[in-house]
Amino acid sequence: MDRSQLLRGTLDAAVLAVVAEQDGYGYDVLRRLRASGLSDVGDASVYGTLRRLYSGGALTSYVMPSDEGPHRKYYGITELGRAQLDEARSTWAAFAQALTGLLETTAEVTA
Amino acid sequence: MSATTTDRPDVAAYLAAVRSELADLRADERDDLLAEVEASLLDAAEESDAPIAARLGPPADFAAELRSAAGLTTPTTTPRPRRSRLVDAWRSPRAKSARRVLVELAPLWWVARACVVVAVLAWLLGASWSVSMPIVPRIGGAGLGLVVLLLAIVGSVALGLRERTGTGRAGRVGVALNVLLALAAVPAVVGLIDRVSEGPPTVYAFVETPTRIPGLALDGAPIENVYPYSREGRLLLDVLLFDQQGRPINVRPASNDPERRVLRSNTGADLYNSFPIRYFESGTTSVAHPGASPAVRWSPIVTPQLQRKPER
Repeated sequence: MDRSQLLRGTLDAAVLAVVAEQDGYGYDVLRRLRASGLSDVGDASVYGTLRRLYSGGALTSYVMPSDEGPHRKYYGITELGRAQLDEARSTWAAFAQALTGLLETTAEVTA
Repeated sequence: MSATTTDRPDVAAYLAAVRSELADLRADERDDLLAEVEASLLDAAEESDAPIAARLGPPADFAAELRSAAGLTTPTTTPRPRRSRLVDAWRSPRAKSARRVLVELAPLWWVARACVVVAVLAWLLGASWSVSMPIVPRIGGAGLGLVVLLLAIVGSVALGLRERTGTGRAGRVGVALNVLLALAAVPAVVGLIDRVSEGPPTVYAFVETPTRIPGLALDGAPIENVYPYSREGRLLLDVLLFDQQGRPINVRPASNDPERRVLRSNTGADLYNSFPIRYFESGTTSVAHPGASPAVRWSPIVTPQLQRKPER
């Protein structure tokens, strides 16, 4: 299965989940996504998604001074973002359950 | 972390390439997006010395992915904005006022296109042009050419007025004709400029300006000496010559020739108008042959001698 196609539909939820767990700046969000197992997520996809979620009001941003360099732009989740994340959770749960059921049935048949 | 693009020229170059891929985006949108990307790319570059393009792929792909993830329109899917931008420009107040000015200036074009029509006609007929009025061709003659030109102007202005008052519509053919005439105006104007800058044909008159010959001359050839003779055929010596205004006819040596025998008056003045000019023998003050003269053809004179009347 093409993971990139799967990611495309689910990256919003993944980014929201990462930021909901803890505020983070762009590269930090990317790193945490990869550490969670989404190793092939694209840099540009993550930065574009952050930008779009911010424009849509799901994320807020603030600047934190950094000891080592220029200020970093941190993203935090908003109420709207939490609502979207909750909705994504339930959608994904239902979808995953349905697909899991389907795939396991098929596996038994072919076995 | 160091975190400026000046420390990582590869990041700066990559960013510039991505920026140019996003040139169609609104400036503030693009700047926000690229600010996020810049900070993140520098963070990523901290962790690896590998060239950034090797990790991220071609900038064009990166830009496309960024654009699509950010939910921004790609330029290929929407050719419409470009057209509507043209329409917007056409409808803008500035364009409207410009068109108003053009409409006011239209009568100038009516006159100009008449001149172009006549110029084309003259060109087809192979006519020459009036010299005094470079815009009038000699069709038959300059007079007839002027009449044709005036008729063309009257006709063109009448047509223009008819279109303006709405009683006649230009239509596609009319527009096409105007465009054609505008194109023909280019060679017509060039020709006119040529004729005007040429002006009336120049008449070249060859005027011989005689080269100035210093001293005495006869038919352009210099006279170096004068030999006066009496009617009896005797060479006169030390004759002083003057012109019609009483000026001494001086023949000065080009350089102060010490061997020339120069007469001196009692006032100490040198007389350079004494003829024939004689030269001393080298290093002396004597003239070897005072009576020497060129070969003169001589015939006895029969005209009676003038008698000087006694002065009162």
